[in-house]
Amino acid sequence: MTEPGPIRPLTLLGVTGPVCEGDDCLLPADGSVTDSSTGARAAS
Amino acid sequence: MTDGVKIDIWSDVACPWCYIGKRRFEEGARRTGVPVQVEYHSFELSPDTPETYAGSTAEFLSAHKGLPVADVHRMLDQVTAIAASVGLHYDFDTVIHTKTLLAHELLHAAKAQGRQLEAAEVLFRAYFEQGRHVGRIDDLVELGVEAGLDPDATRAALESHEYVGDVQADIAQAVAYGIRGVPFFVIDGRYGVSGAQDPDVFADALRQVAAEQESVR
Repeated sequence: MTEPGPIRPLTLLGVTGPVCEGDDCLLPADGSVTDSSTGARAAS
Repeated sequence: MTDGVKIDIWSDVACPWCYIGKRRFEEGARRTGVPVQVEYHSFELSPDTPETYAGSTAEFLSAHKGLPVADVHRMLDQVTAIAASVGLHYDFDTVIHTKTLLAHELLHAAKAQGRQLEAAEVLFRAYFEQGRHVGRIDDLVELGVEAGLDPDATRAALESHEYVGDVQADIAQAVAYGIRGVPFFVIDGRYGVSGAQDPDVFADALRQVAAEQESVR
């Protein structure tokens, strides 16, 4: 088994694009996407 | 310095945005010409999914999200259209919902055999375009062979769960990074790009990292 490598903080580039979180992968009906970093909805 | 910028990608085989994000990343990298060294890491979105779910994707999502099936169909149509825009042919009517832990084990077995990128492509295509089962050992060995893996070594690895610890280590590392959704791209171990971004986002990130690496040579 491979041990996890050392973790250093990541610099997040740009806003969050479309992602899946659990079963939540779908564009909502209004065409927005989930911002994974904040949980807020952002216009796609 | 390694041969190219290191890209670590957390994804799940059953993640529609991960396959779309894969294509968008590949396009972004192509636009820059920056050589990259890609490694896939495991992220299990729905560990409670049974080996075989007796129902359609729309029914599964409707039940889990509490939405009318018609609404789910409309959402799936949107995702299908976006997939088509990057040359993918999603067919949610034939997708077989399954637990993806074994598929992740296959990805690690493939890494050990130097064929991980091929295996990732084969698994995504099997799941989203071909309606094939990616949660059973016999099916995964067959898919592994299509990715260029040795069938006997692959079957032995899957039956013994040789790589389940590596899958868990990937998931633990994702938690340590604070990754909550996939796809998630870690560039040069320093920068994170979350989601199936536009190719230009990946291109800009790659150019930035390549320029930084060049400046410290």
